[in-house]
Order: sequence, then C-alpha cells, then structure tokens
Amino acid sequence: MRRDFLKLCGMAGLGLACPIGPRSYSLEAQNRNEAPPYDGPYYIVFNASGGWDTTYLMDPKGVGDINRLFKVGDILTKGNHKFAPIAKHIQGGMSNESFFGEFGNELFTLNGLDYSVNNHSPGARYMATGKLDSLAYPTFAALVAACKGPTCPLSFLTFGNYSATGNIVAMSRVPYLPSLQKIANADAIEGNPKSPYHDDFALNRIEKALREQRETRLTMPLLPRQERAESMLYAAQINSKAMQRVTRHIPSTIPKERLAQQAEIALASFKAGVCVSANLSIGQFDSHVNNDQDQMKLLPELLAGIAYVMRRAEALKIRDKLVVIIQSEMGRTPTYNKQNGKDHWSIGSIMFLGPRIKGNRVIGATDEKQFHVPLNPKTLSIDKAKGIRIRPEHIHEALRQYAGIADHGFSRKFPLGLPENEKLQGFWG
Amino acid sequence: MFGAGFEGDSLPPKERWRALQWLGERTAKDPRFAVAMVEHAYYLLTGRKVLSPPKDLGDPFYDARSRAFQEQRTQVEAIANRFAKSGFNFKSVLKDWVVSDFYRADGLSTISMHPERRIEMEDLGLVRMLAPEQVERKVGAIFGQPWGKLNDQMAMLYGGIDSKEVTERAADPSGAMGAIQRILANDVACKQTALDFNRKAKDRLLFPHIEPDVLPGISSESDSKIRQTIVHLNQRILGQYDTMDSPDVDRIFQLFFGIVKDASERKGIDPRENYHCRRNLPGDALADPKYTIRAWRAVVTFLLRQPGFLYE
Repeated sequence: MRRDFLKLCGMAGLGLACPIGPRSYSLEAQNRNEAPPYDGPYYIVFNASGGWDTTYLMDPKGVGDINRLFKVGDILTKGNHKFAPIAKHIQGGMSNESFFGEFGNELFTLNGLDYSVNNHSPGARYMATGKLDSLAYPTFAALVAACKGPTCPLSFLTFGNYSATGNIVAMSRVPYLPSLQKIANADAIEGNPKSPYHDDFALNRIEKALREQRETRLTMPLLPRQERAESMLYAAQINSKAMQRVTRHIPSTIPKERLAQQAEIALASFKAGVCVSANLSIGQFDSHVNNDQDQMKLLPELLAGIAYVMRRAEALKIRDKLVVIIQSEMGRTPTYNKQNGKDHWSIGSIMFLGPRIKGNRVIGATDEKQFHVPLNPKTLSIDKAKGIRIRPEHIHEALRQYAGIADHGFSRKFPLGLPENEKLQGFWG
Repeated sequence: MFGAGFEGDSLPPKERWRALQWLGERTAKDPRFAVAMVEHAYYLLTGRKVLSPPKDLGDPFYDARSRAFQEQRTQVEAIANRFAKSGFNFKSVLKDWVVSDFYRADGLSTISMHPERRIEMEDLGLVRMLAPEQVERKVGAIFGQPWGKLNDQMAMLYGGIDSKEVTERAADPSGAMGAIQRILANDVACKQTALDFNRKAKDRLLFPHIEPDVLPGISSESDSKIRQTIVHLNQRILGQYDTMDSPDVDRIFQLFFGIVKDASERKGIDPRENYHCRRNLPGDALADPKYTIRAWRAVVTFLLRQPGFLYE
C-alpha cells in the first residue's frame, strides 16, 4: 500500500516531500498510507517585530547617551559575547545574563548588519526575504519549506510578521493549539479522538470506496490536467492523515506566554514530521516612547521564548536538528528622543543557533556611534579598507548555502544577485 | 525624462485634467488591448495564464508545445476579433471562452499514453480547485446553508488569499487542506443527513425518494429506491448524471450496503444517530435502528470528498 501511495504521489508530481528519515515509520502508519515524516533539520525564525534595541542585547555601548541603564564599564561577557547587563532592570522573562550564560557557547552573532532602510514594511520584507525591491520573493522560512518538504501538511507555519510564500508553498496559520488538534484529527468531532464522526468500520468502507474509485479513474481517458488534479487531491487527503501524529505531541496544558504557545504548535508539528519551518513573532518593539521600559519588557520576553523553544526541543529530542534564527526588521537610534524613546535605525544585528553553526562567535561590529563597520567577506574580520556592508541578501545567501538549497530550482527562481566575491566565506564556522 | 503621453503621442495640455480618460481611450484603440483582455478573461475563468510560446529549441516536446500554443493563440485572436466587433463588450469574451473547447473539454475519448499528445492537451479543460468562499457557496447551494467554518484562519489554511502576503490562491491542495476537506465532508454530512430525513419527504433536498427504513438486499424494489437516491445525490452534490446501473452508482450502493451489513453484524451498536449529528433535532425522528441514516451519512461524506465537489 505504501508503494501505491508513493506511486500515486509520483504520478501527481508530488515527489514525496517528507523524505523518509531515520525516525521510525511504523508499519501501521505505512498501512494507513501516511506520508513518511520529515526528519529535520527544522527551522525557526524569531522576529522581534517593530525594531529591537540591539544595544540592550548583543551589541552594548554604554557610551555617550546610547544606553541610560548602564555604562561601558558595566558591560558583561560570556566567552566571546558581549552583552548588556539588564538583570536588575527586568520584571519577567529571561535576562541577557541568563540567556548568554545558558546559550552563549552555541550562539553565533553578527553585529553591524545594514538593514539599508528604516521603515517597518520594507525592513521586515528585506530581512525575511533578502530582497528589498520585490514583493514577490518568499521568506527564507517559506523557501526552505518549499525546497525540503512541499507536501508536508504544515510545511511552512507562520504566526505573523512578513510571511510571503512566493507562491511556491502553502502558508499555514494555526493560531491556537486547539486549532492544531482539530485539523490533526479530521475524522473526529472537534478534533476529539474519542468522538469520531463515523464508526471505524464505516470510515474504513469510505476510504476503501475512495481508493477503488481512484484506481478506476486511473484506467479512464482523462485530460492530463484532470488526471493530475485528481491524483493531487487524493494524495492530499491521504497525506493529511499524517497530521494525526501531531496529537501525541500536543501538551496537555497550554502555556500562557505568547511565544511559548506558538512554539508548542511548531514543535509538535516538527516532532510529528509534518512541518519544516516556522515563523515565530512578537511585536510591540517599536519603542518611540519610553524605549528602556519597553525594551526591558520585550527583550526578556523574546529571550525567554527562545529558551522555551530550546528546552522543549530538548525534551522532545529534536534540539540537535533545530536551526534558530533571531532577528528584527531594524534597530533603534543611538540617541533618545524627547519622549525618552528611540526611533528607527538601519543598523542592527542577527543571531543564530543550530547544528553545524559554530557557537561562541561574534563577527562584525558597530562603532561607538552605532554606525556599521565594514566586514571582509573572506576573512569575516573588521576591515575598513576592503570590507563591505553586510546586508540581508548576504545573510540569505549564507542561509541558503547552509540549508543546502542554494542550487534548488526555487532558489534559482528567486536569485539574490550577490557577486561571488561578496559571499561570506566560512560564515557558519 | 519623457513627457506624459502614450506611444509617442503627447498628452495635450487641455486634456491634463482628464489624463486617465485620455489614456483609456488610446489604450482601447490599441489592438493589443483586445488580446490582453481576452487573455485576462481566460485567467479569470481558469485560474491559469494563457500559454507562452516555447523557447527551448532543445526541448524534445518543442513541436507539441508549439502546436498547443498555436491552437490556443488562434482561439485568443478569434475571440479578440469578436470582442472588438462587439464594441468591447466583455461579456462576449466570457461567453466565447465558456463555449470553447479549451473551457468545456472534460475528458478524452481514448486514453492517450503518447507524451506528445499529452503535452498538446496539457492546458485543456477547466479543472480548478474551488477557493474557500466558493466551497462555502457551493455547500450553501447544495444543502440550503453554508458550512460556515471556512473563513478567517481556516480559509487561509485552505489556500485562500489575504491580498498582502498571500496573493495567489492555492492551485493544488496541501496536506493541511486535505485535512480540512475531510473535516468539511464529515461535518457537513453529519449536520445535513439526519436534518434532511427529519423534513417532510417533499421538502427534502437530499433524500426526497427514500425513507430510513429502506434496507439494501431485501428486494429489487428497495435496491432500486436506494440506487435512485444515489443517482439523485450524485447529481445534486457532484453535478453528475448517472444511470442507476453505472459503475459509480454500483460503488456507492456497495458502500451503503456494506456499512449497513457491517453494523447488523456488530453487537452494541447505538440504535440512534451520533449525538453531535442529531443535536437540535426532535429525538423520536432520529432513531436509527438499522444504521441506515449513518450509512447515508457515510455516502454523503464520500461524495463531499470527491473532485467533482471540490473542483470546478
């Protein structure tokens, strides 16, 4: 039966996107014609939506009037990381001290990233896709999902921020855990497995009749387009049964924190092998008024969300396959405005965690006025003479290389146009 | 910088206040306008753009693709000519496409395994997956009320658009969409089957010719009534006209028969329809001692999962 399913997918042009990995793919599941699970790597993009203040996180200054909460001498370190001391200023979430203490050895930071714009929409688009001047490009999360698992039932999950798909993969928005439960158990009332719509023998008869009908249709003279559509439809309905695997990974208690709720949906879907990438987002970073209060509330919330993901991934035994990208669409000015806020700034940072990403590293820099310092793409060292401005397309090119999709047809369809001599050499360590 | 104008004609100063209308008048006179509108109408009707001429001379199917393009181009130009003669009445374009073979073809007379022929016919036929709003309207038209759940987040998950980040409707179903199709089929059948049997026969939409006490395999008369009902359901839900002995009707009859038989052989089966499916209905009308209401519900579920329902 599994062979039939694979054959059917092939006929439908599906090319089985959830490739068979080392995870067990039970005989029972095979007999139910479920698609085999996608086995990683899994990609999570955290978005600090609104523009984060990097000087209160991974690029502390403490000089001039850039940071009112600490001075340069207060700046802390963990290995090669420098970070702002914020523990005594926060009410909840996770401090920089705890975050870098726990994850510093795995964390890779790039400072001095040139966002090139300081408006929210173009900035979010540029950071998400690596292309500033096109609305057509997919986000990295969508692109990697399309390349690695186009027929996974929830291949690309998003919870907000810029999420364009380039129309190469379906976008899935599953806002709440109960929504996931519902679509995971499509044959049960309100997704409750104890309340099936049909008795098992009736459902088996329905599935059998559908299968027989499909086999008959394959012997009939159909238009090519019709034949493909029918095969796609049948494969999608069969494929959707793989969603049932999600159920056992949905936690019995729903966390209260917004990032943790998003994380549970994404992690359950990863663990079940039905998802490749997820876009997680929290907003309100746009601190034009009272910057320090807002950032001291939101940065710890973001860090706590990342830590939650890492710990839950550990518990689910998928942490070693989890790639985490932590970003925002812009930074905040080096000076305060009259309302004690900070406005938009086009220089910032990005952080990464994951397998094959060498941690305890910081590359790039900003100067004492928070302007970018050129980086040599070959040596990855500061180089005011031969260095270049590192922009989102440089990061996206590196991400495509890292994910092994740089030469995929979809990546070629959306070229980044980066000259060969600007590609970041040995970026991942 | 070029001054304002169109194709070498400058916009006269006295027309500046109505520049858009001035542009519209000139655009409509351009022969490419009629062709562009005909191509746009094709996109509106089928969800696909018209074929482009093949470029790769090394493509083994170059000749086939070229023939397919030429045929479609001939049709586009013919419709564009009639469009211009009609005084640019857009309705005529839609009508012309709808009566053309490109739109109406729904099958082949023989199986064509020859790849060249298949490439030539690749763009024939409508075969368009219904958008979430269309599915809701179709459920409303068939059952008298829409499902009501294919909106907002669920609509997005079902390949809908938000005109911001998602600008094209999904042309093919994903696994998540397959799950929603199953939920829809189960839930609509659940809500509508018992409800329909609870109506007076003359008011029923799905089962006007049969009662739940008609069992399969008892007499030719009862089997005939069941088949007649299947023909009616096929027509109502799929828009498919079958004879009572067609293979499709046979398959559905066997589905109905098999479920009733399985239920009769099981012990401890509830003699009533599922609580969720009989909610808000009078209790005595919903006894299902022979499992026929549930078997008919299974038939409706089966039909709602068909391409004939989910595709145009």
